[in-house]
Amino acid sequence: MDPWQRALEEVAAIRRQLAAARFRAVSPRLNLAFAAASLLLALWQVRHGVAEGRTFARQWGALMLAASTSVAALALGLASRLHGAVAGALLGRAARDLAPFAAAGTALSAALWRLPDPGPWLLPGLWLLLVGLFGFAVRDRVPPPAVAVAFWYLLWGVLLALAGSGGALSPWLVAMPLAIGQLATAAVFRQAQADG
Amino acid sequence: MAEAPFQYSGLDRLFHERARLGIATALAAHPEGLPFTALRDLVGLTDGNLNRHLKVLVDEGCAVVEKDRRQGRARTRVALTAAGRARFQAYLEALEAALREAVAAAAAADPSSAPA
Repeated sequence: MDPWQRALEEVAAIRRQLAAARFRAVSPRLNLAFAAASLLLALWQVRHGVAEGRTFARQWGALMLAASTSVAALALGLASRLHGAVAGALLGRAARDLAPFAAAGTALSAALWRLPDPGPWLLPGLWLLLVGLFGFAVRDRVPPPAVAVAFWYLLWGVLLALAGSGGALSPWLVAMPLAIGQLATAAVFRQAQADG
Repeated sequence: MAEAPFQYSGLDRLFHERARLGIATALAAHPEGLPFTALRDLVGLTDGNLNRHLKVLVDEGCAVVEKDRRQGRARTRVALTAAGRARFQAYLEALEAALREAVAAAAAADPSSAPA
């Protein structure tokens, strides 16, 4: 191989190594627990019959908030083990990436919460939509297959928002996309952590 | 004044130095960082020289040097920061562009040597 071409290939190889630094500090076990919790909440809601939009949204909101808080708390611990000295920088970047979506989610949720039905029924769709958009926003900094999960959440966010605009949602309509999305997330990050 | 075509201002002096290019390249392959001794062996520098070049990278915010207490005993660990990775990436892009221009110039001067 001519030396110019070899030099170019060596530069390209270093660039590929640089691009491989992706955030992996997500606990697959937590994703699995969240998937199970989603199914249990749907089961509970079906048995007890949740007919009021705010109650429905409050329960799903509490579950998603608990999951997000746990993911963030565990990421703090996992990041230093998986990313060593660059953990702080990666976590800081993740927090900066998340901030606009958290702010938009809070503001839009507050606005929809105040509306009469079907306003609150739109909330689960909005939250999934924001999770999907966040996934796309950080696609260069997470394992590549995560973009498929982002697309899944985005798609279901839109579908749920459309379904919610007509009033009451089936709990399974929220639980199934969430559970499948979490299972897929667990698989993606488990593989990324195994690949090192 | 417009930049001269062969000025290559994108070739960041921070990395355009043999030892620091070696350090950054070694660290690029290890996002989680490398122990100081492993890095020293990879780049073939003395402790003093490695420390001197690391100080330049740390002062520019491109690397971190910290005590890693995993596995029971403290070891010094070195890693590129996110800013360092981004800056090194930009340097590599500029280097790749310069190389491509050199390939094109060589091919223009001697068409028989052009890659197939």
